[in-house]
Amino acid sequence: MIWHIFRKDWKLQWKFAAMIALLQFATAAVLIKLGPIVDNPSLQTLWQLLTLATMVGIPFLIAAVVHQDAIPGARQDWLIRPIRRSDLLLAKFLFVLLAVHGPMLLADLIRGLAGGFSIRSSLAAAVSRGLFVLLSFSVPLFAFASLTKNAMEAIAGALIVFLSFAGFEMLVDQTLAGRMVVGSGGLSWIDGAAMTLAGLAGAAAVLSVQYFRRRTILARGLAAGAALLAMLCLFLPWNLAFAIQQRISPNPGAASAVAAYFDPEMGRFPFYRGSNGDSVNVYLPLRFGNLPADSALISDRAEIWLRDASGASTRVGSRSGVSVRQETGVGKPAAYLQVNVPDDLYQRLQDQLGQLEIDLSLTLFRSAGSHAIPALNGRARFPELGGCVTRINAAETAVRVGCVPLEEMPACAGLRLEHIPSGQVNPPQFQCQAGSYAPYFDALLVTPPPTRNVPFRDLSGLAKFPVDGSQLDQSQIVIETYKEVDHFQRTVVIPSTRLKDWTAERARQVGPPPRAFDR
Amino acid sequence: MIQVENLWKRFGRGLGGNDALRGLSFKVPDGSAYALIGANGAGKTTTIKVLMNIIEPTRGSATVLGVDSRRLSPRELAQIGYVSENQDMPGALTVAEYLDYLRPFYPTWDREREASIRRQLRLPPLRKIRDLSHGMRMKMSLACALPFRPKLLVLDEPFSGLDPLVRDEFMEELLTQAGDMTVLISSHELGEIDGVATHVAFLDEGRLLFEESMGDLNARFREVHVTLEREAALPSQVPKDWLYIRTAGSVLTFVDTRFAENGLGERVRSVVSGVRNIDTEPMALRSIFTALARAAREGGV
Repeated sequence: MIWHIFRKDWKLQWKFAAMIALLQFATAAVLIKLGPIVDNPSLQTLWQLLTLATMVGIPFLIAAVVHQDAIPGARQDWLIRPIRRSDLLLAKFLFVLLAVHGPMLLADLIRGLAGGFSIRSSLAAAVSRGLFVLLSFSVPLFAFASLTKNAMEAIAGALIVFLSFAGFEMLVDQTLAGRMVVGSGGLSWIDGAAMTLAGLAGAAAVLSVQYFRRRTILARGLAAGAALLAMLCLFLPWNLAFAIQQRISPNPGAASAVAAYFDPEMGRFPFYRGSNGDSVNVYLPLRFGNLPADSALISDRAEIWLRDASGASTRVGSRSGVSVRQETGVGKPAAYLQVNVPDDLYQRLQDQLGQLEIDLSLTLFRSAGSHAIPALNGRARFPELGGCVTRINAAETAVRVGCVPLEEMPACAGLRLEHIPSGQVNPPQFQCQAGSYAPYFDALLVTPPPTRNVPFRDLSGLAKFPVDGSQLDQSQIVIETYKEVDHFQRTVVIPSTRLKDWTAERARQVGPPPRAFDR
Repeated sequence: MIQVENLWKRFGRGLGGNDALRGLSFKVPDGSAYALIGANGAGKTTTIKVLMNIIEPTRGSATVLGVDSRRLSPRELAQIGYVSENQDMPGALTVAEYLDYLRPFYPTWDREREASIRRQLRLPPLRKIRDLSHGMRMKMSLACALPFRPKLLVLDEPFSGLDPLVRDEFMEELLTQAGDMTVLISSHELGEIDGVATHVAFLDEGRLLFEESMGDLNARFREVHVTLEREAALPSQVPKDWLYIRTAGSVLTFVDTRFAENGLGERVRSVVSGVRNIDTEPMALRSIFTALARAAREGGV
C-alpha cells in the first residue's frame, strides 16, 4: 500500500512538489548561467533568492506531506483505517525521496553534465550530495514534522529549536571563545557529522515512536534529547577531532619527517595589521623543514601557551591559517604565526619572561596536478577543476580565474602567470582555503564557485611584475592543485622570550591583507 | 464483540488533571445495537476513542473483536466501520477520490454496495470533501464505513448538528445496511436511539450508571401518577428506586425504576396513605434519561 498512499499524497501535494522541483531546476539553471566567473550581480541575487526559497520550501513540503496523515491528535481519519503504520511511514519517505530528492538529483546531474563532466561522475556527485542532504536535513525534518499536527505547530516548534540552537551556539562562543573545540575550518565536518549522527539517531527514535506507538510527548522528549546531544557536538574537543582526522588521513605518516621550529633569524614581522582595538597581534616566526617537493603545509590550529619561571602556563591564544609551500626539494619555507592576544592579557604578559609553547595541528598537501590555460579569455576543462575560464578584471590589474568543479575546489591551489615565449613568471599566488577535509561532499547548498585574481599590474606603481599586461596574449595561467595527504601535530618551543619582542616592527595603516580567493 | 473492564482515562496531570473515564465496565453483545448515552462530557467519545485505539486508556482494558484495543491491527480495523463528527477526512480530495483511496485497504469492500450507498445518500462524487456541508460530511463518513460490511459499526454522535431530513436519510441508510452487524452508537439525541438500540448504557461523568437491554429498561421504568384523597405532599421516606418525585394538587408523580405490575399498589401504599388511584405510563427513553440524569446530579443514583 506504500505506492497507493504515496499516490494519494502526490494528488494532494503535486502542485507544491512541482513548485519546489521548479525552484531546484531554476537554481541549477542560474548556477550554470553564472558560470565560472560570477560577474552578474542580478543573477547572483536571483540565485540567492531561489536558494532561500528552496531551502524554506523543502521543509514546508516535507511537513505538508507528513501532516497529510498527522501523528499527533485524535481526529485524523487514517487512525481508524486498516493502514499499516510501516506503509504510512515508508510512503511519506518515498514522497520525500521522489518529490524533494528526485528533482535535486536531476538538477545536480544536469549541472554536472552542463559543466562537461561525464554522466558517471555527475551522477556520483549528485548521489553523494543527495545522500548528505537526505541524512543531515530531510530525515531530521521529516521526524520533526511528525511531532507536529499542522504547519502552525511546525513553525512554532522550528522557532523554538532555532532559538535554542542560536542561544546555545552564542553561549558556546562566549564561554569557550574557540578553546580546544573544533569550530570552523577543515575539521568542522567532524562535528557536523557528529551532529548529523545525533540528528539521525534522534530522527530514527522519533519516527519509530511516532509511527509505531504514537507517543508524541515521549517522541518530543526524545527529539529534545537528540537536539541537546547535537548541540553538545559543538563541544567536540579539538584533539579528539584531529585524532579522527589523522586516522583517516589518505597517506598516514607521509609527514613524519616534517619539522617545525622557531626561527628568530626571521626577525620581527614588519607591519602591524588587522588590529581591532581590543587585542594586540603577536607574530611568531616559524620555519618548516623536510617538506617534500611540490608540497604545501597549513596549520589547522595553533594553540599558544606561555609558561613562566614557576612552571605555570597561561593560554595566550589560538590561531589557524598559516600556510607555506615547498616547490623544490631545497629550502625551508617560513611563515609568521599571527596571534591575537586580548589587550588585557597582553598588558599583563607582555614583559613576562617565559617559555612560549606552540601546539600545531598541521596538514600536509601534495601537488595533485598542474594545468595551464591561456591568460587572455582562456577556456579549458580539467578533470578535477571542471570548466575554467580567464578574464581580465575591470581595473585591468589582474587576470581573474574561475572554475566550476563538480564538487569542491581543491583546498590548496597555486596560480602563476607565465609568459610562454620567455618563460618569465610572476610571483605565484598560493592559498590554502582549508576547506572541508570531509571524505564525502558535505555541501547542503551548491554555491557559485570562488574566483581567484592573478595580478600583473600594481596601480600604485610600487610593485613591478615580470609579466605585464602587454604580454598577456602570449601568457598562460598555470594552476597547481594540492590534495591533503597527512594530518599531524608538532610542538614548537620558544625558550625564554617575551610577547612584546614579537609584535610588529611598525604599524601600517591599511586593512587586512588582500585575499587571493574572493567571491 | 466489545468488552470493557474497569477503564480509566485521565487527561492532564496533577491537580489540573481530569478523569474522563472512571472505572467503566460494560459488554457489547454480538449483533446488538448498543447505545452509549449521557450528557456532554459524560465520557462517550472518550470511551469510543479508547476502543478505536485513537487514545490509550490510563488504566483498565478494552477488548474489541477479541483483541486488546491497544493492539488493534489493520486486520481488525478492516472489520470496523467508524463514523464520527470528530473525523478529519482529507478535505482536498473529492468524494470519489477518497472512496477510491480507501477501497484497496478493505479486502471485503463491495463496489456495488458503495455505489448504492453513494446514490442513496446523494453524495456528489466530484465535490471536494472540504466543500461538503456538515450533514453531507457525516453522510460521507457513513459512506466510507459501510461498503466493506463491517462486523462492528461505531457511530460517535452521528446525529449531532444534522437537520431532520439528513438525519432521516442517514438513519434510513444505516438501518438498511445494518444487517447483522454490531453497532455501538453514542448519542445524546435520545429520540434517534429509541427504536434503534437494543441495549443502552448510561454514562455520567465517566461512570457507568447502568447498562441494560432496551426491553428490560422499558419494562422497569414507568412514570407513576398517584391520586390521593387529599393535597399531595412529598413523602418523608422515599424508596431508592423512586426518582423525580413531585406533586401537583392531589397527585403525586414519580419515576419508578423497579416497576412491576403486581406489587406496585402495595409498594405505593406502604409509603403514602390515602391512595385513591394509581396510573402508570410507559416512558420514552428521553424521559428515562432525563429522570436518571436529574437524579444523578442530585446524587440519587
